[in-house]
Amino acid sequence: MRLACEKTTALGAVIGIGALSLPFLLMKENRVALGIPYLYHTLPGGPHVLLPITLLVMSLAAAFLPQRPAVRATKIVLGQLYLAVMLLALSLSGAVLVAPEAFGRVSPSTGFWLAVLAAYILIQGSLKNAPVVYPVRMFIGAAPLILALGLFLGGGLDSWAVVMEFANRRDRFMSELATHLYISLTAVGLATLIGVPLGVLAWKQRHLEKPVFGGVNGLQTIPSLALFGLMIAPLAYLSRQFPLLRELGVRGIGNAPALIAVTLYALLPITRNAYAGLAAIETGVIDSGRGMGMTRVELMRYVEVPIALPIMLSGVRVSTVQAIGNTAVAALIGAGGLGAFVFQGLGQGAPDLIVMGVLPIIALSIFVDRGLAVLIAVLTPPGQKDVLND
Amino acid sequence: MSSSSQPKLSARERFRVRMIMGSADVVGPVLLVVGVAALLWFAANPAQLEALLRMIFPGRRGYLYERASLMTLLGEHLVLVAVSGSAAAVVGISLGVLVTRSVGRDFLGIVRDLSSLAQTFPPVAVLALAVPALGFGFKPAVVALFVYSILPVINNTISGLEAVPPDIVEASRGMGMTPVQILLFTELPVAARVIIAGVRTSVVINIGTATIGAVVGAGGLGAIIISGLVRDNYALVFTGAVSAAVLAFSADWCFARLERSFYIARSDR
Repeated sequence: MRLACEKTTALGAVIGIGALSLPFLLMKENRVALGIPYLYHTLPGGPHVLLPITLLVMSLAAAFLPQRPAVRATKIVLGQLYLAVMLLALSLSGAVLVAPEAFGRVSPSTGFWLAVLAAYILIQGSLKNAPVVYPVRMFIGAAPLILALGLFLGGGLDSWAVVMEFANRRDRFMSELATHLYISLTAVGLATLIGVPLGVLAWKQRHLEKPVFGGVNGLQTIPSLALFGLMIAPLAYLSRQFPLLRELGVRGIGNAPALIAVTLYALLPITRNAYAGLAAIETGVIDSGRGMGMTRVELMRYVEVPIALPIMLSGVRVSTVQAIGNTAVAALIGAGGLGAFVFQGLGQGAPDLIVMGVLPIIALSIFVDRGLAVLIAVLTPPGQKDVLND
Repeated sequence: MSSSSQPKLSARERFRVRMIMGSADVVGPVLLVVGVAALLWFAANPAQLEALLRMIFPGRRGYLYERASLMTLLGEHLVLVAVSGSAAAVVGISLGVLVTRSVGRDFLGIVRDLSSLAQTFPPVAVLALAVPALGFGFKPAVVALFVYSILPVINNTISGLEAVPPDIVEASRGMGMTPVQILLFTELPVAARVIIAGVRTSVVINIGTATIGAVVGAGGLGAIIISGLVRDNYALVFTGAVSAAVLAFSADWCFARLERSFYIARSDR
């Protein structure tokens, strides 16, 4: 008899075991010292190494079973437990290692990150095509994050270097986060106000299509740093010429060029999807609506908007994720935001500070991306689901 | 609609055709040739570049970056993009092919999930994380650019290969083609346009991200922009920004041409 093997789970389990043989965390005596690597089994705290190995062997065994719902659910639980063990080990041994050192700090190393990847493969691989409703799916995805957040709030990650960098800058972190959100969300708002009418215009006036898309396409081709750079000189000139603008805060350096550049960057996905949304409304659908005796307003309310809105919103989704990333670059022209920590860390050669800036940027991007994906899924009419499968 | 000889396209297909055709016109190529020629000429003649910058930004000092010539930086930038981009194209296409074959099909879901999750990461975040992981310099930047550039290539290779009509594959098999022949002479040519679109996206993002590479010590055109920002020297910022933009536009245009050539070859099918 030939054994059937679910390869994704097997891969996850193998990576998970590999993760245990790599440096799991680095202990540093101070901010700039070189780290001393610890493998999982040499850690002074946390569950015994046999526990994660057992969990992984069980997952591996489950890969060879017929993939019934109960087996899949078990694999998801095993993946979650494995990740929880890793987080716990990091938290407990971090506290033990740091206790005798005045400036001691630990950071997770290759082994830990590989373990996260392994857990992702174990969990996501078993979730794929599983008949699980959306809220449960979201909870499964969010559970490790909730655990990590709980550990963080409870002080369980205080020995972690990134958390130390954060604790030293708590107030500034909050204001930079606010700036970051302000710049990227305002830019997306402005881009929606400009981009949707542009897309509609391009759809209604065929001769304007080429210049409109040539323009917004071109804007996105320019490297972001170059666009920021090009924005500075003209704005500096304008603010010198017109004191009123200067009072409004329009200067060469700072928020104004960042806001304009991020807005210009956000135009392409929004304009393109506004156009695509209109293109998706096929004449036949309108005709059948009209045949049913719908008025012009009803047609819009029940036919046109439900079809076009989700497509337009997915443009906003792409734009928002991009805007969060571009705002990070904007820190280079003095706009502030979370990118300021990243570039400060790069300037000081302080890796922990870099990670402290990067992690919230990534978290924000994923959060916005998933959040808008859920909203779009909810708004998409059943007949259109095949159009937007994401 | 118009003439009956035209194939009937749905609104969606019409939109797609228009998006592709829109990127090619007469003005574009002329502007690009002039732009690239001007960039190379000024890079080769620093004295002329200085004269031009003196005209645009009068009454300043230090119009030229003293640590490296524009030509050197341009070269660094191109090497950075070419090395990481070509490696990403090779690895990304191979991975995409692997997970759409029967041996690797089990991994299709997870590869797709992982690469679309990773694409949510801002490129600058990936670049910045190269420093804690690998340190400063050229090599870490190449690795970071490579990692990020793979993603659009994988995504597009998978969607391109998945969109190949099954009847064509079936017909090829009926002709007695081996699986390797079907891949090389049927599937890849049909999917080529979508795959090249992925490479195009990845190269354009790559050129932009390489500009930020200067902050991790990778050199390139970003070095001159950032040095200008630090010293409040717009002439430097301008030189670097315009050069990077010309580079991005010409790469985008070349790939758009390549992409379009595959579309035309297919449309009379």
